Amino acid sequence: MEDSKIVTLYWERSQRAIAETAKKYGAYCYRIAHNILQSREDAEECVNDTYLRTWDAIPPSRPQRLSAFLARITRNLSLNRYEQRHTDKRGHGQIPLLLDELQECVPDSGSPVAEDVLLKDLLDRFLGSLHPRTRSLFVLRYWHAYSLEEIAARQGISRENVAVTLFRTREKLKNFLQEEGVSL
Amino acid sequence: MKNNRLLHAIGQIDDAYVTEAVRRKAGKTLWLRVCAVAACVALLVGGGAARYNRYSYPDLPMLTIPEDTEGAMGREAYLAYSFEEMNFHTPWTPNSRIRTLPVYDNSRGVELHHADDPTSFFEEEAAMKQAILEKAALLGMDTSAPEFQYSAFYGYYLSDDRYTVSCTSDRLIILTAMPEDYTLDPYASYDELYRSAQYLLKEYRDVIGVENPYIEIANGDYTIYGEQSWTTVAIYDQVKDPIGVLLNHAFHKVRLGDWGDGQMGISFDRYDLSQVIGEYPIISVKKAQALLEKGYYVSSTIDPFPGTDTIKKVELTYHTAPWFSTFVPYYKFYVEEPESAYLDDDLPGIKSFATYYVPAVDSRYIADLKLWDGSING
Repeated sequence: MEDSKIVTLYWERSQRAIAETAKKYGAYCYRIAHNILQSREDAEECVNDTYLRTWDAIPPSRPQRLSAFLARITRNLSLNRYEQRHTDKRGHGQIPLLLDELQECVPDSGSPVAEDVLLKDLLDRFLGSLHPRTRSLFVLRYWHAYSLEEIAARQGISRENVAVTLFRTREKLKNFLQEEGVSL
Repeated sequence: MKNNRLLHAIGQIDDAYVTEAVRRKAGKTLWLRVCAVAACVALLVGGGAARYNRYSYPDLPMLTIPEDTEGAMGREAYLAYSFEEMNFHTPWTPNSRIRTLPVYDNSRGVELHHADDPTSFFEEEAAMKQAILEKAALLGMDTSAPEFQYSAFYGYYLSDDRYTVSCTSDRLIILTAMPEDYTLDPYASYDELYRSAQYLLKEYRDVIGVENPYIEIANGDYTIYGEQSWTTVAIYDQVKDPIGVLLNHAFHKVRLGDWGDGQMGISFDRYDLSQVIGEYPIISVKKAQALLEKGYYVSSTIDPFPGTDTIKKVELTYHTAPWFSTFVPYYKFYVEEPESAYLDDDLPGIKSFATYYVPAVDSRYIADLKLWDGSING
């Protein structure tokens, strides 16, 4: 079913909206949740919660890209659940690695960005300045939480190539934030 | 904690970057691998093959397989207790003896589909309004001084107390009240839907405008809540010519649908097939299956093709969406999945059937025949 029709079902408050969403995007959302949580049970719960959140959000929302809308909800729910599970200890899976890597992007000095929305704008500008291929590697790693091996397989390049490109991109992000005079 | 803030902030980036990342495909390396294999085959076959090609294969432009840039993450799979209780109708059979099929250029359609405001295309605006007026006249609406309205969701539309006829660059839709005693609810039974489609066909014969109508009630798969649904109720012109009927089925279907609140919709696809790139030689099912087994396919499922013994059905069809730059014919294989993360424990005995597409155009004409790359590459 087309996305616009699924969105219409949500607006009509039809239960079919959730069934059609699950059918079309269940696997995609599950993949994101599993990348973050590394647990089938937790991932399934997050995907189910995604449907409920979407049900509450549409209307009033009318997302233009339903896939990204759902994926964002899944990602947020999964990260929250991950943090609840690992409040006192370092977890496993990709997240600890992602956090270590992202630490390299944190500028040494500058004024902290007070508003999350400003940080989002800065990140959008930074990503907009990258080559699409590099940008995709960055987003697959730090948005979708794919492992380096999975990204290499998806993009048809070596793991080392992925690692080096991401390393350089992290450096660029740090420099970009520094040039903007901001910190986190 | 600063890195944690960054991780959360990355989650808020523009949607376009999120979908772009998932839809970008494996590029060079795998493709080089395919080229290398192709080069070896060419060397082995030698000059004889070159001569054969020269005399047997028409000179046609190389094709690029279109990417599903919008439905990129939508998984095309069907849940059912057995494959036979579903219906995936196709007018094609392996005996149809189709040797060539047209490939269409849809770059204009893509441009219109992605335009923020398709009405800015003057010609398209006129065409949409004309299409609305034609259907409105057939419905008996007053078209003497039409007052068109516009919404981003429905495009242009014209309404009276009985009908709304709307048109976007992709589709024309007629909305009206669902007649009593009939239904288009996809959860109704096959027989009820067929009876309703028969009635609507009789009532709207001129508007539907199909000479030899075939009523198709398709899918019949189950939702995750265990309800069987017939999501396609459609009518197409069953012409005798095997290519004509295949094209009608792919591009000229009239869909009947339940639009909620007692409304029904009659929907017409508006594919522009005026730009034919060429008539391309079509490979046999056997050859397509061999390509499938070697991994040359596109699929919206995460898992690799699970093996020949899992194939339930094959059909020759076009993979169409308004945002595809070309319309290319495919062999579509329905395959029973050995296991799936989405086989719900609440539905014991349910099976999942995924689809794998192999381009039906002879591989000599495909510039980017891809090996499955481990991603959702549908």
